[in-house]
Formats: sequence, C-alpha cells, structure tokens
Amino acid sequence: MQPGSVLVVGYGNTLRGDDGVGAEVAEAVSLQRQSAPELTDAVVTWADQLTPEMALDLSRSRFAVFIDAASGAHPAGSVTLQDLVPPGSAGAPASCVIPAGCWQDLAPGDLLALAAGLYGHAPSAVLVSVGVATMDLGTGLSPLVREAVPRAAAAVRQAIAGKCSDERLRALAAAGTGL
Amino acid sequence: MSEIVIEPVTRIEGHAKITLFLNEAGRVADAHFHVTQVRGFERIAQGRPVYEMPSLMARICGICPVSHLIASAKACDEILGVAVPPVAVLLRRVMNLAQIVQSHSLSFFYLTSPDLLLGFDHDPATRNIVGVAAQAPDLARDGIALRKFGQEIIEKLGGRRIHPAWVVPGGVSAALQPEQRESILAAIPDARARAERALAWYKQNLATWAQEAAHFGNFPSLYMGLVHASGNAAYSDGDLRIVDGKGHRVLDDGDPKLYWDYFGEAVEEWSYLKSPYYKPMGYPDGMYRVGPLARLNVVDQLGTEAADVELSEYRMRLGRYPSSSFHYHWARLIEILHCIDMIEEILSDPSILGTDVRSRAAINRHEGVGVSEAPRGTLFHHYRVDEDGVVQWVNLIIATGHNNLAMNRSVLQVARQYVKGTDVKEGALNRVEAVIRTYDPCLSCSTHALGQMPMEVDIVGPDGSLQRRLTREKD
Repeated sequence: MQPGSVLVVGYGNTLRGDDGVGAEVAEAVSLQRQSAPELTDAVVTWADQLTPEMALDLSRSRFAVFIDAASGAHPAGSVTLQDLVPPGSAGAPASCVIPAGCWQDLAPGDLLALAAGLYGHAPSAVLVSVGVATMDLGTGLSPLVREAVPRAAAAVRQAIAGKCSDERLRALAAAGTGL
Repeated sequence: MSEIVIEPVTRIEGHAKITLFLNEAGRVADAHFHVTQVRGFERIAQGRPVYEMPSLMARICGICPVSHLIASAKACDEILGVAVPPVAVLLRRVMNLAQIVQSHSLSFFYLTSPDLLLGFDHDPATRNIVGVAAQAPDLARDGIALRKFGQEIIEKLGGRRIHPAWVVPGGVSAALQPEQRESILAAIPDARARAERALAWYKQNLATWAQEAAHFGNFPSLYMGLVHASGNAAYSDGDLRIVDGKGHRVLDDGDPKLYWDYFGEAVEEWSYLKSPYYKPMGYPDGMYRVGPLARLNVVDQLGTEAADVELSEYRMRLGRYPSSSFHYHWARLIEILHCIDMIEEILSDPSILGTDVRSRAAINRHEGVGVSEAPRGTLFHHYRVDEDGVVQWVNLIIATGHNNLAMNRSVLQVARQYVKGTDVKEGALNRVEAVIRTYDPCLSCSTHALGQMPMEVDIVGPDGSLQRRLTREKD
C-alpha cells in the first residue's frame, strides 16, 4: 500500500453469523469508492482476524478504521464509534495485553502498539463496532445487524472525512448509537 | 493413579487436551494427547461434484489451505486422467513453497520464538509475539516480513491469501503475469536475508535450549517425506521415502498412490485424531514422524545451495539423523530458506510465463489419490466418485495425524522430566505444551473440523480420580 493511505480493516469470522459484520461493512465501504471522495486513497480490506502482519500496513497509514462485531452491552444493530488512543511511538509496546500464547486474538490496540514498537509509527485510529444478535455457526447476518450495515459504512466514511479533526471524531463518538 | 489434564493447549492450531496419569509415587506413568474436535469433512464431501473438491477441501484449514488445494487437485487430476501442463506443475509448486514459508514463519516466529527468546518459564502474560517485539524487534520484524512474503505470493497467484481457488483439477486457472513474476522475484533478496538472520540467531542460541532439546521427543523413530529421484526434497511431487533412526531406507521410491498398503490407521477411544502407523511394523511400533525434521532426515540434500550449506551444519552439529523433536524448529528455518531459493529458481526461468496451464477432461476414472508435503508433513487425499463425478467416499491422512503417536510419546517424555506430583509449575506446564508445538500441529486439519480449538491438562491419580485440572483460558 502507498505510504500515507487510509486503512480500513473489517474483521470477524463470516462463518459465525453476525461476527462477519466487519467484513460485510468493509465490503460495503469498498463498493462506495466511486461515489465517496473521502475514500480516494483508502485501502479497504477484510479478514477473519487481526494478525501481526497488519502492523506493517498500519505503520504506513496516516489513519486507520477498524470494524468489528460487538456483543455484551452493545444492542444488536447498534453502531458505535470509539477513538483508539495511539500508543507511544517508540519503545516497548507495553500496553499490549494478549491472552497467554495467542496470536489469533490481537485487538486493534495491540496492532497499533506493534506498529509503533516495530516500525516507529502508529496512525490515529477509530473502531467502529456493530452490536450483534448471534455468533452461532452459519453464514449470513441477522436482520437487525443486516440493517445496520449501511449505517456502519456511513460511520466509516464520516470517520475518514473527519480524520484530521479530533473535535470531529469526538462528536462522532458522542453520537454513539445515533449514527 | 493420579491424573493431570492440560486444557486448552495454547499456541497450536486447534483445540486439544493433555492427560497425565500419575502412579503411586506421584511420577508420570502415562500421558495422552487428546484431540477433542470431531472430524467431518470426509462426510461433508460425499455427494459433492468432484470439481468442487479442491476449494471445498481448502476450507479444512485457514493456515495451510494451499496444501489441501494441491493434494486435492492432484487426486482430481487422477480422476480426470489428465496430464497437468509442466508450467502448471511448477506454478503449483511455487504456491506450495510460499505456503510453507508463511506457515513455518507463523510457527517459528509467532508461536515458538516467545519460548525460545523469553524462556519457557517467562511470565505467560508477555510470552507472546508482542513480548518478542519488545525484546527483539528485529526477530519480530523478520517473522512478520517472512509471513507476509509467503502470503503475498499466494495472493498474487491465487487472488487471495486464504482459500485461493486458483489451483484447479487439471492445472491452475490462470497463467503467471510478467509483473507478478517480477514483483515476487524483487522480494526474494529481502526474504532471504531475513531467513538467514533468523538462522544465525537460532544457531547462536542453540546451546541455551540444550536441556529442552534433550527431552523434547528425543527418541528414535521412522521418518517419512517426499523425495525426488535425485534425492532432493520434494514438496508437491516425488515418491515416498521412509528411513529409520539409523538411516536405513525402510521404504524407498514408494508410490504415494499405494499409501494404503504402507499405512494403517489405529483409533484410540480418547482422541478423535487417528494414529497412523507403518503397516509392516504394526501398531504402535510403526510410529513415524513427518514434517521438517523428518524431511531433512529422509532427503539426501535439499537442492539449493545456501540451504544445503545450512543442512550440512545442521547435520554436523546434530548428527545425520537428529531424533529430538525440538530440532523441528531449526529444520523449519532451513526449509524457509530453501523454499525462498526454490521459488527464485523456478521463477527465474522465463518459460514459467507460459500460458498452457490447464488440461480439461471429463470423468475418466473413479478413483484418485493426491499427495503433497504440507508445512507439517505429508498429506494424502483419496477420493472415489461415481460415473457422474459425484464424490462417494473420501479418506484424508493429514500431517498432524501421521505425527500423533510421536506427539503422545513426546508428551510422556517431557512430562516425566518436568512434572512431579500434582503441584505443576507453569513453566513445566508450558514445556508439556511446547513439545506439542514443535510438531506445529494443525488440529483443525487433522480432524477436518470446523472452528478453533484451544487445550487443557488433567492429572489423574492411581485410583483414576481427577486430582487437578489446569486450564488456560483462551479469552
């Protein structure tokens, strides 16, 4: 990817129901490239999980948007946006907390820390979360989550459009489920 | 007898459990490595058109789908009765070699290097790739770059990193483009330099792990791998060779299609993973190992200059037929270097851009066997179809399955060395898991199961009662 690009990463297992919403949203964003000028220099990808190799791409980005499924306190179909605090740009990525021995369970913050620790730069980044109804085995999204895909894609575009403005990001975060 | 159970076993692909049986004196008397997933792909495939098989079988695994693609496509080639165009044979090889680079990099740098660099007794909270990045950033960067190198070749050839559909019955679906070839060749020097640096680091630190090397599955066994007629390592083609711990060729020029004559599959009630064995020696004496350690033992030489220099040093320091599974790690690094150089060698010939890459045919036979070397070892796919090409029967023997008997014996050896009674220290527990990791098992592959699997250790007393359960939560 070109240095200084915007990186959009949707992640989750498309064989586990709504867990695949990150990939669905990323694909929707990718399809909007022609009509959305803010996506001109965006690299849009999706994957089953975050992996350490992504740290290199992240380090070459000026802004990153992660898209993930969220359970727990997130109602099904809700779309929330969280500003990810960039880790220190040098030294050990001490902020990483990975379950013992797992490389499959990297979180966006872990990747940002890896990018900063290994490559000297981590971009500012946000996490767009979509509340899920089910993550049982099977393909396809539940109706509420399916309906949320366009709103989540819009949230991604808005985050990119306002990428240089902390105020704008805070406003989006404050908007929360109202997006 | 007391029993110790480790579940889940971490830093492996899949979900497994270890049970340690203690005798009256509190010493480990026996050990079982259980694979707790249910197999399913051999049944799922029944009733599917044979043309779907490569892409369907690739879904068995997200780490080594290319190996399944190639073994499956070769089984389908047999059923179609086609001769695969030579360019397609070479292109398939390139993809398989790239797959080995990326999978070995994951195994060594992401899963194993935390133990090697930080120590087997290091705090498990930071004994991971991020801990490696903090302490040895060059090592972490090399691992990331090498995995990316392999993945990007797969993506360039197949259009995607995971589950590429480019390998098809009869060849490959598209010829290599000049710009793809150039970009892959341009990345070779950097990848080679990183592989050489990792090898240098490993060799420099080898003495640090002497105790583990002495007890991590250190016993004689048979070793199996695919070998070209020249004696060079073969990864996508070649014939079967089996040698014993002294180098005697128990099987040479073995026709992979006759695998059923060579191997039996035993079933133990405590695991879904079958235990293949070399038939002429019976069960369980016919235990054999596959994968990097075994491949380096069975070949005369690898076939590329730099890797063969490394192989000479490996054999000089460890002996001609190293018997400790700990040395899978070193063997893996040498194979990374060899695969990078093989990719360069194949792509350096301009004829690789040839456009005759696929032979087409209808169903001409009702049965086919395909074999290839997966990162973890030899992989067999065997299909039977009806006259319409609908799959009637499938048998898969996966690398991790071949190693099942050796993995069980390795767990027993390590447990006897490091576990005394039920008061098991975390470092001892980690070593019991780590010996499994030397084999880089892929349990999703070996049981052909859907989903992920982490692991657990139970300690069982002389009376059969559970004395202690050690569980490492995945999340």
